[in-house]
Amino acid sequence: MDHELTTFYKGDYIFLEGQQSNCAYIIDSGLVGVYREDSHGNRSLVRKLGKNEMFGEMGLIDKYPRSATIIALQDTKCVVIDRSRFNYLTKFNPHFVTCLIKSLTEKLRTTITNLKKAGSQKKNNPSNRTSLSDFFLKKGEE
Amino acid sequence: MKKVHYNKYDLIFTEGMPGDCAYMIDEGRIAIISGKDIHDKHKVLAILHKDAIFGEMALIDEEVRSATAFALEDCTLSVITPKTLHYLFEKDALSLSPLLEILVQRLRQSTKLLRDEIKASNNLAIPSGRD
Repeated sequence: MDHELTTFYKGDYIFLEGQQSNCAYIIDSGLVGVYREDSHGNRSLVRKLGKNEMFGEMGLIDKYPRSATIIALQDTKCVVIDRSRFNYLTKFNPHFVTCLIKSLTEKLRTTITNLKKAGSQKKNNPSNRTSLSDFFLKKGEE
Repeated sequence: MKKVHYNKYDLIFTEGMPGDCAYMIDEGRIAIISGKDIHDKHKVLAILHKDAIFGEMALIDEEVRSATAFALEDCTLSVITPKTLHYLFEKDALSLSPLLEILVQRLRQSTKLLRDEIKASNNLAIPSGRD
């Protein structure tokens, strides 16, 4: 990709839950943690994202504030896609739209799986679903 | 598009089953629930109305159904086949961009449910004053 890379250092906050959304990120190298806060301000790690995975796109799609806090878990380089670039890509780049749809579906599935786990440890869910988190590793945007 | 009709309380699909199509609601309301049995304890993930699309996840990622859908009233649905969806992915992915908003909306919704769930279990673990 011909975009400029932005570097975040281990421990850096990339954005905070509740902030206005103005860009999305695709990880070029490194690792970030997705954190959510409960009403007592306890922060918990929801998932980790690595190379070629995207985050921060939700707020660009629906214009709501950030739904999570992102912290760099290692030194991480990201491609930053601002709102206008993002809008351009979703309007004119079919491959980008396809990747987005698949990545959102995978995130949704992960969240629903977590929801079931949180709700009913007593239930034996035969959920040996393979995670698709490596989707972007295989089919990331070129 | 092929239309199908379901009566009130009919199951449209069940969590854990392979999914072979998505649906658009022409008429009626659909409940999406977590769990396999509508009579057993379950969590309502969404109530969907006319023009809503559901069941698309299994088509997109070819995994099993992540939830159960049943008719809250008599309803008519249009069936979206994998062929249609794959055709659109290949030839006209841009026409699928409304799906982005749907997916994000559901992601926010289920995130909120997850947060409530975690909050409830935290409250159980650490009694923190009265609410």
